[in-house]
Amino acid sequence: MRSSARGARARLDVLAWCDVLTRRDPRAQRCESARPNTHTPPRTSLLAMILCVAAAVVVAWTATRAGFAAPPDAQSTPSSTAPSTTPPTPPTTTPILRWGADPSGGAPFAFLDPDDPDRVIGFEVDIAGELARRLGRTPELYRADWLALHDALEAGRCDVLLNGFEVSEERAEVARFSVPYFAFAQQLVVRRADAGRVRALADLAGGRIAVLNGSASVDVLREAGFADGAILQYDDSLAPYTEVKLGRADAALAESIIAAYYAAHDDALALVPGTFAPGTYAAVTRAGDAAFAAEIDRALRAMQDDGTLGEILARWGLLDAAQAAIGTAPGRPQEILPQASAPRTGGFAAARAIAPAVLEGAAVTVLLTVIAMPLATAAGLLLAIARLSPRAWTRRAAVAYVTLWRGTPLLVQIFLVYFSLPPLGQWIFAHSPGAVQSILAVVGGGSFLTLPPLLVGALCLAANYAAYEAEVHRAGLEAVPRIQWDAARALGLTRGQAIRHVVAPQGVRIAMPAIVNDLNSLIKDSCLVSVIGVTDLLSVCLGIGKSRFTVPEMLLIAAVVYLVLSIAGDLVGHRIERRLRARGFGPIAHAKGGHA
Amino acid sequence: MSDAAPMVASAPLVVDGLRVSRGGREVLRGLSLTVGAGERVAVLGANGTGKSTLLRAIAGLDPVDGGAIRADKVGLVLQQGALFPHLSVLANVMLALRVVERMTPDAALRAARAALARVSIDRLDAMPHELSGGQQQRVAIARALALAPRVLLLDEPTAALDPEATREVGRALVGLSATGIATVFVTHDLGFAEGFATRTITLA
Repeated sequence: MRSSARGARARLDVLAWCDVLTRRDPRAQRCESARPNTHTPPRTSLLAMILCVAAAVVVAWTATRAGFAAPPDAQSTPSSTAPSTTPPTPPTTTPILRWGADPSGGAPFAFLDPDDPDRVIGFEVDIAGELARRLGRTPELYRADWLALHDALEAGRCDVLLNGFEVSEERAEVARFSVPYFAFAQQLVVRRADAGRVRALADLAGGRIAVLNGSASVDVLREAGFADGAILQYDDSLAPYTEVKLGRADAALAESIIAAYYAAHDDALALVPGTFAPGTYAAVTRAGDAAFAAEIDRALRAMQDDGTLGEILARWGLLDAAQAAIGTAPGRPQEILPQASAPRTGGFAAARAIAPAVLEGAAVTVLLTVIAMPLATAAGLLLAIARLSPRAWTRRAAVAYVTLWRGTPLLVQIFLVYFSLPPLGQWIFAHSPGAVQSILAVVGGGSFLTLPPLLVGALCLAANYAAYEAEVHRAGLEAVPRIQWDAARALGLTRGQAIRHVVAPQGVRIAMPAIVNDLNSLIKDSCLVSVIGVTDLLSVCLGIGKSRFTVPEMLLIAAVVYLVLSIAGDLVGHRIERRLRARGFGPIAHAKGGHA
Repeated sequence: MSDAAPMVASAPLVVDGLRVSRGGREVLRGLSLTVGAGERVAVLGANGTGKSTLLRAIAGLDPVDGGAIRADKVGLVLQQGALFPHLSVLANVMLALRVVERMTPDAALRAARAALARVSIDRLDAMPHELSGGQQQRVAIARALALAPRVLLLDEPTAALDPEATREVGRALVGLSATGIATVFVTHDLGFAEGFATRTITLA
């Protein structure tokens, strides 16, 4: 990020920048300047500034690291297919089974508990829990966007995936499927008015069908001759049904258990009787990890045989005849969980249940902003100064950075950085000399770049926004009158000293309104990091909305909270601006200085 | 173009055959000038005759094409608007003492106060925009003085000043020559030149 600026100058300019943003009010400053230690206050406020950012990073680190402690190491798993009667070992000593799922994908797989959105529930959560117990491990959910789960598995961020992955030959080439844990079939859902007309897929020829992105339903439709344009793909299970209700799609196709959860209780929708195109879900492990895969298989088969799996499915109302066909024993009769089917409504009335989760999401969004914006502003200033450099290569490097980070989508950057950092870390570690390796060992060895998602997200936001701030700062620096440079040089200041003490402090003040503008923008752009599993405000609200059938209401709540955050951001920004203006700042002060 | 004063070996400023181009045009063509200690030389001339260019060349701000400049420690006071607007009066004067001269805070503070006293400025904590034009100019002079120059160059020190402020600046300059500083100032104000210069040269 700072490749384009020399270290020494970088340090100076950060100092100048901190100097500006942490100045006390004018009166206090003036009193100080009459005392001999005029130059110490900026130092101490710089220190405070650095400490604040460092604290934020540490909080972020520990918050996510708490659920991300040890690097995954499947080989060293204690091989145990312990019988279910074994008492669980104390959680402090058991290794962790990090299993991947996307809680925003929808019910009944792994989804936010409508009554307690801090909890992720679902039949796969229960299966993962039992699986972990039998492997002598503690289950830990690794969250990521569903489409990113496979890359996360390959990158070693989790050990196994359990999230409605349909067994297919195509996928078996890139991953290893376990024995199946569930047998599913496809079911159509249409608007109630069309219930009489549509009996099968053939009746929908020429119509548009909504499906879950990347699911087996897509293949079913393609085989049935539907053109790609007629297949509308969505990122979660609920959206296809909403689209049918709104008339944008003529039918929704998904696994029958999804239809049962989302559509069966909706008066506007009707399930088309009969299921077709059966398939199975299985756990997914890394292709090269045969020993661990065999352990998973043994444990799952034992769960099928002794009725544990059947009982889990029964509690979720999912134990049908198809399960016996893949060898799942029914187990003892179970009472169906209230969360298994009954759709939640209530929207705003349920505010008390959802408030803590929404506030936590908002806190994550604030944390992302608090880490990213100061870094972006500082790095942007360094880039802008690099563009003023007399050295062509320095200028070119800065221009290249700005062009690259401004010219590619933030979403793509987040994905690429998130998935390329772990292998990059492994590579660096493997190619480092022994001394460096022993230092790196302290911070995780080969996985030292396997950073928590929140930190990666914040760093990506910072790197992206630095490119924009660079341009803002460039405008600010260029607006500083030429005579200020001359005056600094006439006093004998070097170029670097002139930038640090004279030009940058003024340029930053001139750039402040634009920086505050970008702060506002960053607060809202931070929602993009949810694709790597960061549970920020928007993803929490969407998750709750999907589990409670209140997506529009939850989006409204999210919008209101974003508005509040953005107003708060503006207030902070304007406070800093006012402070600077109270010190006689802005371009006006120059105009007053006289003619040019 | 040349100057009638005798060459003094110990003169703080000796310019010999100076040639400087600006924008592809040679504005100074072999200028020679010697300024002795305590002298105040006013440089007059129409716009574009190279008055500011001369000062900037002596101060080392702009490159020269030819000729020689021998100068003791030089201080340059630019046109108005050259004070640092984000720093108080005292901080403006102290900046170079701390950063360039690497003085301790105490020493810098003493030197800055002394320099400001020499130009009769006592509003040490004011911000530049709170001062009048004449006061700003005197702060700019103090900022250069604090570095203990033997040659003080001023570019249009009285531009945009009212007559009273002009006299303030002139009296400040006279006070400085008494301490042996050689002064060169560029001006359009003939009255100011005649009132406060010991010698006048005109560029053409």
